Amino acid sequence: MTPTAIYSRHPDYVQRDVAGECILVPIRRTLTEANSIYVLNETGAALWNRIDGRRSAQAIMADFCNEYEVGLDQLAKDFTSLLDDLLSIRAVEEVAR
Amino acid sequence: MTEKKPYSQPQLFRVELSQEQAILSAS
Repeated sequence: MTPTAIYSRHPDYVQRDVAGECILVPIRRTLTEANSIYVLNETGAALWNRIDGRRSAQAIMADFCNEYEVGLDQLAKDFTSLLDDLLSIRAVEEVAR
Repeated sequence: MTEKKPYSQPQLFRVELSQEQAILSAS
């Protein structure tokens, strides 16, 4: 993950908050994602909700650190891993570097 | 200053649906 990269949420995914869980549902399914939905845990959802196509990864992490008890180094590793997962299912896309 | 929330590693879980559940969700 490049700290200055900007990511946006893909419109092919719809977010639903059900019973405190953040659920991502693909609305244009391909064979690779047929019959699957995705669930984000609390911190995953907090990061997902900050991905807006305008803020850089760095800005998102700085904002997140104000709310959660975590250091930037640890968060950078974890956010990179989450972004890799979201990119792999095409729920987010990099719009600028 | 407000107290920060406890942190846990952000995670994405995949949930497999049955064919019928998938059709119904595709509401």
